[in-house]
Amino acid sequence: MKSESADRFEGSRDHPRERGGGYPWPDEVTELLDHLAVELAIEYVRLMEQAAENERATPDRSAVERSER
Amino acid sequence: MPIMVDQQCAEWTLSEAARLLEEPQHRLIYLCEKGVVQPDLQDAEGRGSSRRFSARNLLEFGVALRLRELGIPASVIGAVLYVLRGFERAIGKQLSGFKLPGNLQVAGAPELKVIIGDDQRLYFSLASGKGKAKTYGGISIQDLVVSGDDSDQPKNPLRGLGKEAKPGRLLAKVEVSVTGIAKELGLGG
Repeated sequence: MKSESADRFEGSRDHPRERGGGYPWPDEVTELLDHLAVELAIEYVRLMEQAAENERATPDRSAVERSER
Repeated sequence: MPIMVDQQCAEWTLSEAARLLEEPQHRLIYLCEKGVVQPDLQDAEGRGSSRRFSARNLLEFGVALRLRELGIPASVIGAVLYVLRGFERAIGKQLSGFKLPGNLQVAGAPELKVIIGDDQRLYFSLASGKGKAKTYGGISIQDLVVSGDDSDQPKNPLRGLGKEAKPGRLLAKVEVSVTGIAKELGLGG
């Protein structure tokens, strides 16, 4: 069963012309490559969201210093 | 040293791309003719037409040339670039306007690497900040190689490729940072 995240990234398959420029990989290999691209995208977005969250959670140092003074 | 490029320049001719990448034109032509890199803006279609490349194409050339230097067959490089295109498209569905190579260079962006392990498998890794890199993939190189693939096989093919990895251990034979190449090129999306 596909995860909810995988569903969000659904439909990312390449146009046949973009299949590595005519390398006739078997369909199952192309599927693995497609799956890998989606897996990477999910993790990349997760890491970006995490970085943005960390950024928000980190107090502005200068503001902290000002309030201490 | 990063080669900083005018971000407004959205397309490059073959000679401009070759100059930027500091590579002879014939190497870029080879990658196009093998179908490894497909010009985004205009392909050569007979006399008088010339190829025109996007910033993403330049990143693709950068990755492809680095992998060629390490003795990786053209069809395997084609698979790497195929994954990168799918990756860009999939992220674009979530983060509108996401483009390679520009978005790989933004602050806080995870580092994306291509790895070929000594188990003869293709992996990608992602690492953010000081976090440990996570590895994805594991597609057999053998499944990606197409016969008659490499008429201009590099002089120094990858040594030792072919050894089985010990279970649970991935030793990188080849490791290329896509993010690093994007930064070296200094191109926008």
